[in-house]
Amino acid sequence: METSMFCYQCQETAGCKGCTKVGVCGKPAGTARLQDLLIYATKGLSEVSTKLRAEGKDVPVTLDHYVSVNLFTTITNANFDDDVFNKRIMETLALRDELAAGLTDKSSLLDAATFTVSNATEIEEKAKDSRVGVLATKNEDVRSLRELITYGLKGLAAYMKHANALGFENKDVDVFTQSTLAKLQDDTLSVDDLVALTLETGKFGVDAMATLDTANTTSYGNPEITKVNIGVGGRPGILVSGHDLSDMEELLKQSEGQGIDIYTHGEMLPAHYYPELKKYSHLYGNYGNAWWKQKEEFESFNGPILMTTNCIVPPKGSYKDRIYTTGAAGFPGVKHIKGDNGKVKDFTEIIELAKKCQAPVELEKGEIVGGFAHEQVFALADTVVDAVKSGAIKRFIVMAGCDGRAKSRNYYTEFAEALPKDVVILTAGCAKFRYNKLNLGDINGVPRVLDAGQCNDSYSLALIALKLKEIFGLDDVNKLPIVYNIAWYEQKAVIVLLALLYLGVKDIHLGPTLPAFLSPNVVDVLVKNFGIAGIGTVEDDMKLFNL
Amino acid sequence: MKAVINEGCIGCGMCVSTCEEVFRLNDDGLAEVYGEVTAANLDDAKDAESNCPVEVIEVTE
Repeated sequence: METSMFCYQCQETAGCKGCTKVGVCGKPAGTARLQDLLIYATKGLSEVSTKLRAEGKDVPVTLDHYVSVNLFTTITNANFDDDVFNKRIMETLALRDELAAGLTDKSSLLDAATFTVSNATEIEEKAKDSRVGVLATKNEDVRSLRELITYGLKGLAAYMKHANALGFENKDVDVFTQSTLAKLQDDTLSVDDLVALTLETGKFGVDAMATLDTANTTSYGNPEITKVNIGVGGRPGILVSGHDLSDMEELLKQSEGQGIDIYTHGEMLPAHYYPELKKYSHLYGNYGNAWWKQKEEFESFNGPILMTTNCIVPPKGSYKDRIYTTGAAGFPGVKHIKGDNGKVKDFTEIIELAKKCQAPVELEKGEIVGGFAHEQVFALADTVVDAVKSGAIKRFIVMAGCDGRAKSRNYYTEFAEALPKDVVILTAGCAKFRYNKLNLGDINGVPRVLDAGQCNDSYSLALIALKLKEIFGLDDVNKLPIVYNIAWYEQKAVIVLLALLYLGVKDIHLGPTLPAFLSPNVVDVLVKNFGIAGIGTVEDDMKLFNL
Repeated sequence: MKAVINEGCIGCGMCVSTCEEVFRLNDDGLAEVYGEVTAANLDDAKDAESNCPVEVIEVTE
């Protein structure tokens, strides 16, 4: 069947099979094809950079950054702007050819490393090439593993982009990313080779998250227990969404003393937990919920909105003139604030607009508590360990990951409500919005929902598990009283999953549906080797988890 | 209260997963309205309207 696009990278893909006419995320087929071509061109660029390194030649760090942003730009709900993709494709080819000039041996370069286009029409034509896109790989299992790795690399790249923005690098991760992108074109790799490469991607996912954790905590201090206001004040505000803390810091600096407040939305909520960000008194609170509620919440916010990364959904006309993107995020017709790594972004326009807007409409009152990243939990280790030893805490359940639109995700709210009172939820990512306002209480002063932060802060949850393993003198992380019931939506959750698999965590439950990009045989491998499973009903899963 | 699906449905199933009491996929794989919009499911139906990637759903109160 001829399709105008094929994308199955997110959990909401059409029919749990693949989007073929337009993305459920809202991206048109033409945009999807441009994203495919950008990935193809990035594989070609990576083939050249990998060969250069093999010849003992230097590859500039700017190239590493460029590759990361290319990957990040194609993450679900990050960027819908064809002009951005056309520009990045042309720049990628220019970078590639500049680098290739330094290669001694160019004999074996593949089409991705040699094709040329000179304008938007030729780009559009090339994007239809049978070698470009997901379906270019005919073998279902090879395709499944290639895409699983590609999506893992997209998530990893997002984390590296955030670390790079704060001036932190990890050359090994960048070299791995590029060499792996090059390998994904290698038809001699067997399914077994690709399974091994999948786990290796998980290893570098851990490294990327560690790099970002160092970047965040070095720049802003370790997250600490913080009560976050979910009501509103009387002043106009700017709503900041996405994941980029460096953008948040810069906006806080520039807006201080201007008579406006700054609010977080969705994945930006954990900004409140960092000492160097929460010190700004006009960082007022969190407005609303996870990304998918934005159409109504952005409307009632009244003031400007800054999308620092995904997830942006096609904006309504009622607020399109007051929503801005920056970094890897973009949407046609929406103003974009420019600024590369290390350059100070100018948010004056947003701040001036905010001053003319009304204060946000109040959605709710109250506060939520978070900030339970690794150092804060280690500081509470004695209390936690005593509670486990006394039986006050029987189990921990990791419910990290993403939130999304499907009604079936109500499962996570009902699951959290149904948990016995001696179970503590460990969370990170926007999945928490399904249960973080339920007032589930505490156990000897330890809240029953411990929020470590953004999706990348799943790294904290891994460190906490490893610390508990050490304290309890166990030889296997799977012997801890921790079970995993993770929700996913986009590709950053994929790298978190691969990282957990690399760390040896077994029996992870993944929902609300298993990824469409996993072929039946690949699912079999994951079930047999790692005990991966989906979710059932709340009642059945309570029994399954022995809760 | 009423829901209508205009021309242009791509059959992605988003409305069905958001509000299965009102929407379902027909034999052609396209969305159709088969249930009544009620006070109990109005919020879900509105979410389906808002989430539709091709904006062909209209829900009126």
